[in-house]
Amino acid sequence: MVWYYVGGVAFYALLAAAQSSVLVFARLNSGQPDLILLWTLAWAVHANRSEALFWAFVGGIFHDLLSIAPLGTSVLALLAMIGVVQTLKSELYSFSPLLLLPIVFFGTLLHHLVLYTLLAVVGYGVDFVPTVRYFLLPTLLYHVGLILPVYVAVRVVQRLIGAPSALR
Amino acid sequence: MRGGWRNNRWSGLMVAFVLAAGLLLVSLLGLTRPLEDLLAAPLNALTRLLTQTSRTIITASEAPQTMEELLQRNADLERQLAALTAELLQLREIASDYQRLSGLLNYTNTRRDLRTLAADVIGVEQQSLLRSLIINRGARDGVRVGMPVITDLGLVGRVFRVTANAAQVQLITDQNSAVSGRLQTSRAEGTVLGRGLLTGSLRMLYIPIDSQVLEGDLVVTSGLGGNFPPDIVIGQVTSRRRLEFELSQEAEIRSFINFNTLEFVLVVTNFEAADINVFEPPQ
Repeated sequence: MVWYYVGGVAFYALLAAAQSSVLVFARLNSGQPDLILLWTLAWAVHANRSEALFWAFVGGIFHDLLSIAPLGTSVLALLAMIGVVQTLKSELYSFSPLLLLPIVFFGTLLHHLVLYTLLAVVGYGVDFVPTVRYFLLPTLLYHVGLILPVYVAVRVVQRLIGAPSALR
Repeated sequence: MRGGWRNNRWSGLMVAFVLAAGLLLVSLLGLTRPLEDLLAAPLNALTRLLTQTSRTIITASEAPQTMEELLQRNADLERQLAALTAELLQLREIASDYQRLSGLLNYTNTRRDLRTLAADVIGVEQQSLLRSLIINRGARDGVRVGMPVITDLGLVGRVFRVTANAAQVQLITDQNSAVSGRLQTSRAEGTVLGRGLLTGSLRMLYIPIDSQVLEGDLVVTSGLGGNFPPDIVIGQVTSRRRLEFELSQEAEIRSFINFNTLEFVLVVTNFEAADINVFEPPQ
C-alpha cells in the first residue's frame, strides 16, 4: 500500500517534469495539454472521493512547484474540478467513457476559471481575452482530444497495479 | 443515514479545501520556501534530463537524411551566411559611426560592461497563463532575485525565484511583467507590458501623445524604476495606436527572441535592482 502512494507521487513528479520539458514542443498557439489535470480527472472517475482528492492535492503541488504561482493555487483549482466530477459521478446510474468528453471540457473550464480567479486575488494580472484565445481554447482542444487515450492508459495502470478502487 | 453519508462526503472535500487554502496562505507569507526548494531540486534535475533528451531526439529527427537534403541545407546555410555577413558589415559601420560621433561630442560612456553568467534553460512554465522559465544556475552560482536575464537578442526577463542550483525567470512576456522602455529614435519613454504570449508580442503603454512613434523603431530599457540596466534591447515597434480622447499613445512591440525555443540565456550578475519605494512621498 505504501508503494502505491510512493509510486504515485513519483509518477506525478514525472508528469510534471514532462509537462514543462517534453510537452513544450507540442504547444499549439500558446496552449499545451495539462497531463496532470487529464490523469487526475481520468483517475478520479473510478476512484473513491478521498483517493481522488488526495491525487488532486498531490498533482496540484507538483503543478505549482514548477510554476511561479504560489504553492496551493493549482491544488485549489484541481480540488474544485475533482469535487465537481465526483459529485456528478455519484448522481449517474451508469458511466460511459464518452461522458468524459463533456466532463473534461467543463472540468478544464472550471479549473482555469478557479486558477485565474485565485491568481487575480493573490495579485497576478489576468488579461482575459488573450488568455481565452491563446491558452484556453488550444488547451481545451488538446484535452478533448487526449482524454480518451489517457483514460484507457489510466484503466490499464489501475488494473495492472490493482489500485484500491480499480475494479469498480 | 444517507444524509450522514452525504455530509461525510462534503466534509472530506471541505477538509481538502481548507488544507489547500492554508497551504496557499502559508506560501504567500513565504514560509513554504525551504520546502519548495527541497522538493524542486530533484524535480528540476528530472526536468533538465527530459529537456535534454527531447532536444536530442528532436535535433536528430530534424537532421537531413539524404545527400539531396544535405546539399539543400548547405545551400541554405551559405545564403544565410552571406546575408549575415552583409548585416555584420553594416552593423560594424554603424558601431564605428557611433564611436566617431561619441568622440566628437566628447561623450563619456560611464556605463560599466555587464558581467554575465551563461545558463541553460531546463524547463518552461507549465501554467498556460504565466510565462517563466527555469535555468540551471542558482544561489551557488551567485544568482540573486531581481537579476536581469538577457540574450544576444535582447531582454529575456528577471530572476524571480532562486534555489541552490536553479532559478526561475519571469519573462518580459508574462502578463505581470512591466519594464520601463524608451524608443530609440524619439527617446520617448513608456511602460512595456507582457501579453502572456510565447510569440514575443508586447505592448508599450503611456507613450507621451506628442512623441513620434515609428514602425520598426527599436525599444530599449530606460533604466527608470531601477529594475533593469539601461539600453538593453527589448524589441521593435510593429504598430502603434493613437486615440484622440486618450492622453497617451501605445505601441505593439515584437521581441527578437523566440521564447518558445530559448536554450541559453545570460544572467547579468553585476546589476542590483534598486528599491526606490523608500523615495515615495509621505502620505
